[in-house]
Amino acid sequence: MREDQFVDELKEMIVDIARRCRNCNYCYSVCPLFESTRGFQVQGPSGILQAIRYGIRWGELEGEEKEILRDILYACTTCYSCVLKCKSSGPGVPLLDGIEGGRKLLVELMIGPMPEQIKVLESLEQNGNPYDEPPSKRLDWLRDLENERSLSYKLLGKGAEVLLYVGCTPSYNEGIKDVARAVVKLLEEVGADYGILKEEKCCGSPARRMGEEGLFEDLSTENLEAFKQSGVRKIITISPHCYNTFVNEYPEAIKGFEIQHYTEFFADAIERGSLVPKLRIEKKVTYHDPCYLGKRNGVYDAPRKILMSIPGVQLVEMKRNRDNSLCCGGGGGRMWIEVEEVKRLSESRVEEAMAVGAEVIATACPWCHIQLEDAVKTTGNEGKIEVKEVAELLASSL
Amino acid sequence: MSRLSEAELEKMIKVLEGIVSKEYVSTNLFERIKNTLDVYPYEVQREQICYAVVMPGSTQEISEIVKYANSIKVPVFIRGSGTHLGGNYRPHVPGIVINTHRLDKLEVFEDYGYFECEPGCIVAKVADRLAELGYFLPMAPGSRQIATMGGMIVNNTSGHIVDPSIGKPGDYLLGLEVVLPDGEIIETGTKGLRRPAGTDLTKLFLGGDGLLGVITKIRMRLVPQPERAYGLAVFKDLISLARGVQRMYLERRPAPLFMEFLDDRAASFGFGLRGLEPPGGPVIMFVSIGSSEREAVDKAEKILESLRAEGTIDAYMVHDLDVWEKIWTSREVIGSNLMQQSGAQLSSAEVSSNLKDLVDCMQDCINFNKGLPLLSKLDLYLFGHIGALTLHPAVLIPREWDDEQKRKAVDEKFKREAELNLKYGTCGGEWGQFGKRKDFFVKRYGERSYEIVKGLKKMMDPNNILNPGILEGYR
Repeated sequence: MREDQFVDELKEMIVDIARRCRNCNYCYSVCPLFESTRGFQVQGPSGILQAIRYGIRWGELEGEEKEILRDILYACTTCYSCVLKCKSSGPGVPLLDGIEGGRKLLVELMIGPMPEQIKVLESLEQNGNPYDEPPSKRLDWLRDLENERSLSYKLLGKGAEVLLYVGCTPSYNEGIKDVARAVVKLLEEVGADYGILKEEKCCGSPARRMGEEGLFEDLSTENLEAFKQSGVRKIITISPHCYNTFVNEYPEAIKGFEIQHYTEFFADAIERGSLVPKLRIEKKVTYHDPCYLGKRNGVYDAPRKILMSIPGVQLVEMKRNRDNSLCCGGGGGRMWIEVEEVKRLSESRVEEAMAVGAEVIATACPWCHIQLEDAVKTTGNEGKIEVKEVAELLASSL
Repeated sequence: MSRLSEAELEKMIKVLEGIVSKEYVSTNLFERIKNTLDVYPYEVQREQICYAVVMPGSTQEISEIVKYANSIKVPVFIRGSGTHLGGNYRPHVPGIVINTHRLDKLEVFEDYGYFECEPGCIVAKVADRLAELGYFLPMAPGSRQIATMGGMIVNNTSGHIVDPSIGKPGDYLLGLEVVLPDGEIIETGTKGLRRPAGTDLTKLFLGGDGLLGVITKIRMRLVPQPERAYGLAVFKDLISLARGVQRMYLERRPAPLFMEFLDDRAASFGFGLRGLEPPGGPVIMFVSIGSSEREAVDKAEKILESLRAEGTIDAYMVHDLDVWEKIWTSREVIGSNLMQQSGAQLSSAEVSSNLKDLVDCMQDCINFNKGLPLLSKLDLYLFGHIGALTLHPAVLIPREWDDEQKRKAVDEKFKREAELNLKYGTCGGEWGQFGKRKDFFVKRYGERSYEIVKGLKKMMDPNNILNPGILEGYR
């Protein structure tokens, strides 16, 4: 009975949101999915929203069309450009609430998520990370660093001022482990009283993006409890996705903590003078705004302040930056599915960086990092341009 | 035309795939739904959803599709971005939707003095490219970031531009390539800089409301980017505002490129949103142009003289571009903010006044929704391109209303709009004719005129394949 009510309320919410859409189609002018695909209207914000609306209204959630509807709903990168555009020029439709609501509905009705995402959710549930990696290996990146030098972190448990919430990708992805290590080096340099959770689990954002609400609730509840137990005052994240979900989607109690993305934390430290980049990095650097840090949360300046404080760095802006930055294509669960693109988003972005003469694309998101690094290879630009995390650049300037 | 059977549909899809290739044909239900939607707030019905959406990449492909459609008597609907405000874009019977998205080539021939573009080019992209080269695109629809060139030519609309200043886009149209409703391809016009004198078939398609042909190539003269000067005038009330505009014309002031007005409430609201002090009355904001800055400034000052003579509270040139940006964009944010505050959908009418009766027309627009069963329940906002004598009385249609109420509300709007345009002997200058305005056309110009258009349509499109429903009128 309660399940039916949940489904009915969800359907009503989605249709109500879609009724606000006036098909002005302004959102298509900023949608990365539309830009990178053939030009069909269901690969654009309003088209996706109207698809789930009519799918509900016309009872297409049982028939043959349900998988087509699923594919339509899950192709969105959830970059937020449409929401911003509609807010500035249109009726302010909360498009992503409708689209993510649609994903929740499809999961509830067992039509979603995408087949390739099922094992991701299973891994989240069983291993606390989406990569099918054992929890026991989650802190390997830290152990490797400890073999090189002594560290002053606390393994929580209890008792530090700041929690470094590492996240799954920096914990397990070989290339991104270096980012985690760079962040730790920076924390050491600042002399922060920081800790890392003994048994960190996924923030839950992938579950939420894929529409698996129950799993998200479980993970968020567990994490919140661990945060409370740890006694920290402040939480720093490496990934903007973790940041976004803590700040905007976690239960009310999260407001008892100050949440910062690492770029905000270290920009503050630089301003206070507790972090002084010394070594020159003579490079032309462009900064790629991650959607989940920039568009979704308005953090545009902190990463730039850091980059501009590094001696030798020449910061150039790509044609599309800040709130009209081009999505790398990695968000919204798209790291795990293939969407047929006429022009790969990440490749378009690398080309934009090359066009302004950048030698380094700096970013502040593990998924942007992976996507862009991949695209540097596939566009044949290895050796001409490289992708670096803001933390890596800052750490190498100490 | 009865519905296609499953077998006929399957055959048709195969043929279409043969023409444009499989990857550019979609029979996906949701793609078909979205391509059948327009800006009106009521839902579409299953029976009217198109059979398929195709995205041709060339004139030749369009020609083949149209020829084939004729042979099986299936309608073809041409879609750019589907943003037409007069109801011309919402197919009422199933057919093939040709989406012009892929036809986005733009070539600038500076040595010829013109540019050529395909109909799917987005207005803002064309304008930006031309601006990079120092040219000006004589089109300014509010939907420029998504509206297509094809749609603009089919309406011959300049959007917000004041026609008496630089004319309509058609004045710059040198020629077209068109696919006729039987699939034949013709070229019209000239490659010279002088538009044809005498018979020019361009005229059948320019402002053609999509009745007589599919535009596949557009050639327009390059116009150098003019210099601009900006002015603002605050009036005591809308009546003296209207008088100000009349005086501007009667005193033979050079018509401005843009001249917008906002009623008191809209102005306060919009200015506030942009961080400006509320002006304290309805406002006019305008842009004068010239080949030099001095000329533009001179023209703006002359206009201000006329406006001041009607007793403005304040009237001045705006020199600070940042301030102008805020003033100018306050118009844009009003609509979106009103919609966001209420969750409703803004729906406006397009009333065209004549010069002599502008004051009366303004009064009629202030009273636009009086006595209308549904619209009188709603707040009225008034703004528009007053320099072009276009007024937009607008209401917010609540989303809780059911489809039938929404439909009736839209009907009331078009009916009242028709009454006013009839009263003043005018017709829409921005959105085109027919569609939801077919009743007006007949009342305004008479049955004979309507028969003429029907006759042309019948001669050129005997099977009524191309965009059927526009001429007949939509509800």
